[in-house]
Amino acid sequence: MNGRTYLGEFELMLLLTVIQLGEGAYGVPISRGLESHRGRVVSLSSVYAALERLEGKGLVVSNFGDPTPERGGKAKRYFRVTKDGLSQLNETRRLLTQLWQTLPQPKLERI
Amino acid sequence: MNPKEPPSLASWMLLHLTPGPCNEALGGDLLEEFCSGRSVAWYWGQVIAAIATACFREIADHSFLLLFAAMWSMLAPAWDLLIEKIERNPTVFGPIWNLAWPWSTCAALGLSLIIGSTFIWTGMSLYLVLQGAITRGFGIRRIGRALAMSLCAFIVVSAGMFALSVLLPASNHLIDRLGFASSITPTGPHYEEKPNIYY
Repeated sequence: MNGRTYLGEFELMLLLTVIQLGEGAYGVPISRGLESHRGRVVSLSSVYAALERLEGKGLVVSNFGDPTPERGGKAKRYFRVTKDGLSQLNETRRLLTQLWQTLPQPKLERI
Repeated sequence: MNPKEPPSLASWMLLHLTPGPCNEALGGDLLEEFCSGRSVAWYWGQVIAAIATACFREIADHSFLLLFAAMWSMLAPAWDLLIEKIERNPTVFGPIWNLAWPWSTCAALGLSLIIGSTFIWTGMSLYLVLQGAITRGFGIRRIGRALAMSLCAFIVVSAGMFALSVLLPASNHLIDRLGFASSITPTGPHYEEKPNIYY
């Protein structure tokens, strides 16, 4: 064991969605993006829980925007992927690609 | 039909039952989604999921504390038995039981407070030592606050138990194990019951 950890499925999808959304990555578009890709309802609290876990690992950072009246005076919390987050994503992609490439073609066709 | 305002009870529950920094942003997101056409059922579902997630996280964050508290609580019956044994010693507690009311009541209450808080504080001290050895140490102010809060909680729970024992006579055995219930009621027989305990 070298102590390196890889991203889980949900974390991977979250990070990719945050990157895709860019500057406007806050709870609502993130959960909508995940819903459209996964095809099922995503609870906003699970999105926040996962993002906070990623923030604890230093893979994302967040900052609060200005409170808006249409949100009942509550601020949006914007997320951004850090350099560590990007390198973790690349590492996970490299590993997954490597694993896919090890599968022989006939087996891939059966999947 | 989608009313403009989300269910107020659900909003209140979200505000008060989900601790943490995401509370405000989550509340705003839910409101934004609701105003854009989500149903009341969806809003309730999200609020319940948020509360469940918050509870799960709290439990996970304090798993060591919960485990320790559960294990320490298992020692409570043994502690009760020990105190009961000491209590039966006439040289130690005899003078207290022989006091006239209201002094017997004050003495019994004080004694129960000392006995209860000794058990709780011993457990807390042990936890702090273990926790301090595992992670970082605790500040004096934090320890003081924890001790005071535990004492307040103990007093409230004890008062609740006593009220319950007065209202429901069948539950007397819950708190009468230390022999206080009969001694702190001014009209009830107090130390008359004691002779069969320590003589």
